[in-house]
Amino acid sequence: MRHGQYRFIVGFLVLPLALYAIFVISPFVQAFYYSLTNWTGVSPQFDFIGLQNFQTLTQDSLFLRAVRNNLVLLVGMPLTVILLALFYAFLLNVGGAGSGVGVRGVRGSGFYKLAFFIPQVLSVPVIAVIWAVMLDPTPTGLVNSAARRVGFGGSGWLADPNLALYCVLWVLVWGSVGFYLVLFNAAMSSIPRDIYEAAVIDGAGRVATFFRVTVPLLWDTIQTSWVYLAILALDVYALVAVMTPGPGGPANATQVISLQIAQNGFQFGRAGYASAMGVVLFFFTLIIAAIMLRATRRQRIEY
Amino acid sequence: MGRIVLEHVSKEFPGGVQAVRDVSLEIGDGEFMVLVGPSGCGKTTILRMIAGLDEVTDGEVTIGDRVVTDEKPKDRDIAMVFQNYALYPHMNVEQNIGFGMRLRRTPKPVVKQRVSGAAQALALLDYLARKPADLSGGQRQRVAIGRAMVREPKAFLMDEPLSNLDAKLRVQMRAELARLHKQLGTTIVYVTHDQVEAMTLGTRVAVVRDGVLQQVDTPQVLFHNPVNLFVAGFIGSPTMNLVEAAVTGDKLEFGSHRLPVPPGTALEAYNGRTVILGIRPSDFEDADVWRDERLPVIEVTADVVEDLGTEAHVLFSVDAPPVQVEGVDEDPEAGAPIPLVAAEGTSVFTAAVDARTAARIGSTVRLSVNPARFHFFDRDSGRVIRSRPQPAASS
Repeated sequence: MRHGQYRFIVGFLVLPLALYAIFVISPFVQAFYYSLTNWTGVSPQFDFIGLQNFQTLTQDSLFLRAVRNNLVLLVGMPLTVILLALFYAFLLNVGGAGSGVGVRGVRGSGFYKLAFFIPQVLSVPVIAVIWAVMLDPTPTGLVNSAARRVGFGGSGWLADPNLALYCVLWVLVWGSVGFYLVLFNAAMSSIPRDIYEAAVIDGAGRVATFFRVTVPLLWDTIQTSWVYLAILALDVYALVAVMTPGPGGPANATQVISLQIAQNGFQFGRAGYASAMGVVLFFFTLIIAAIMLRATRRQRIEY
Repeated sequence: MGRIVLEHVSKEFPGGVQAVRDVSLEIGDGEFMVLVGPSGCGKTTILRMIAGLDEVTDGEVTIGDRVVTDEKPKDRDIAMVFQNYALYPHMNVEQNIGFGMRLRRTPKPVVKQRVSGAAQALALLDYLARKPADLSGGQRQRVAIGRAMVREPKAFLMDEPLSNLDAKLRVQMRAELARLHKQLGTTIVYVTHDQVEAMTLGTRVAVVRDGVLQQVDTPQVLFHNPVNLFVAGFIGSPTMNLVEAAVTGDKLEFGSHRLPVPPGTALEAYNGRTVILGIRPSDFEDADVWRDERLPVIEVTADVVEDLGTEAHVLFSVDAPPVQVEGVDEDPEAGAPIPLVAAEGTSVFTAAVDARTAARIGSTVRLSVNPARFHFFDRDSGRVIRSRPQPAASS
C-alpha cells in the first residue's frame, strides 16, 4: 500500500461510519438492551428483567394476532403485486394483438404505464385517506354506491372485521403495482427483441413465451422485488395507522406488528415491551429476507 | 418442397416509409438465394416478411405450395438465424437447440437424438451443457444454426449471420455454410450487405436497392453483365471504375485517354454524346508484365500502389468527372481500398495488375486494357447499353 493511502481511505470512511454507528447501530443495540428491561419510556428508572418481555409476547393474543395479520400480508402482497405487475408489463411489451404476427406491446402502452404509476407519487397517508373515503361503509360511500348502481349490495369494507385486512391488502397492492410494473417493463425492454422473435419462430405462443423466456430472463429483478415487497409487507404502519378505524380495528382485524410497537411504546408506556417486539420483528425480517434470497437464487444471466 | 415465391410484395411501415416496393421473386427448392444490398435497402424486411415477423402490406408469399401471407411464423415451417444469434441466455446449448421441439411436445428421446445429431454436425457435442454466455461468437452462431437445423424446415432464413464474427472466422463459417447447404439440400434465403459473401455463397443473388429488386441472377452473370450502374458498382471488389466517356465515331474519349469502341457494341445511337464507361479493375493489366499486342495501352501516373502479394492495385487519376453511384460508396467493411479523395472533376481509377509490376508511387505505368470487356451505361437511366450478343468469357 502506498504511503498515505491508508490515512486517505480512513479519512473518507470515518464520517459515514460514525453516522451509521450513531444513528443505526446504536439504536439497534439500545433496543436490544431495552427489550430486556421494564422501561416505561419516560421514567429514568427501570429494572433488568431478562427475557420476561419475550415470554409475555408468546402469550399476548393481540401481538399474535398482529403477527398472523402480517403473515397474511407477507404471503398475499408480494405475490399479487409481482403477478399483476408482470402480467401488465408483458402486455405493455409483447402482448399487442396486431394481426397475430410480429412482436409488440398493446396500443397506448405509454399511457397505461403512466396511469399505473400515479399511485407511486402519492404519499402513503394520502393513499390511506383516499381509500378510507372510497371505502366508506355507509351506503353513500363511493364504492358502495357504485356497487349498488350495478346491482350489488354494499359492504362494510374497512368496518367489516372479515374484510378489513383484505382491504388493506388491496390498497397496498394498488399502491405498489405501478412501481413494479415500470420496473419489470424496463427490465423486459432490455431483453433483445430478436429473442422474442426467435421464440415466436420456434413456435412459442404468448403463454409459453411468458413462462419460458420472459420470466426466466427477469428472474433477478423479480427476486429483488420480492425481498423489497416482503419487507414492505412487514411494515405497513402508515397505511394501517391512517386508514383503519382504531387504528388496527375493527376488533383488531388489522393489527400489525409495527402498530403494536407504536401503541405499546408511545401510548401504553411500555417501551421495554415494545422494544422486545421490535427485536422480534428485526429477526423476522432478517430471516425472511435470507430465505427469499436463498430460495430464489439462480445462476446470473448474461446476454 | 422448399420453394418460396414472392408475388408483388410491398411493405410500408407505419409513418409511410416504403421499405419494399413490388418485389416478385421465385426461389427454387434447394436454392441458396442471397439478398444483397447496402444497409437500409429493404433486404432484411423481405426476409422478415418471408418469416412472418413483418406483415406484408401488399402481395402474396408462398412457401412450398401453401400461401402463407397471413400465417403465423410458427405455421410457415421455416427456421431463422438472426444476426445477433438470439439464443436464449438462460438455457444451455442443448435446451436452446431443443426448445422448439419441447414446445411441440416431441418425445424426449427423439429430442435428445435430434439435438445430439445437430450438435455432432456442428461440432458442438462438448458444449451441450454450456450457456451461451460461455461460448465464443463462432460457437454461438453454430448453436443458432443448430436450433434452425433440428426443425428440419422447408427453408432457412438467415439475416446477416456472419456479420458479428471476426474476419477469419467469417471466412471459415462461410465455407461451413456452403458445406451445410450442400449436405442438407434445404432452401436458404440469406441476407447480407457483403458482396463477397453474396458472390461466394449464392446459387443466385438478388441485388436490392431502395426496396426494389435490381437484378436476380447467378454471381457470374451479375459480375459480367450487370444490368445497371448500381449493380455494376455494388458487385465486385475493388469496385468497378466508372467514368463519363464521350463517343465520337468509333472512338471513346475519357480524360486524356482515347480508346477504340469495341466491335459489336450498340453505341451508334450515342455518337456525339457521353455514356458512362465501366471498367473492372481486373480488366487492366500492366503492359510491361503481360504484353498482348492486340490490346490498346494507356499511359497513366500511379498515385498509389497497393501491393497485396497476390496482385497489386494501382490507383491513378483520370481527368474526367467521376460518377457517383448512390448507395455504393458506403460499404464499410468489404475490405476494399479506401478511395482517394478526387479533385473536382477527376476520377480515381483502380487497376488490379500482376504483383510483379514495376509501378511505384509517382511512376508512369503502361496499362493494357481489353475494350471487349467494357461496360456501357446510359447516362440518364443508369441502365446498361446492351451490346450485341456479348461473349462474356472471351479473351
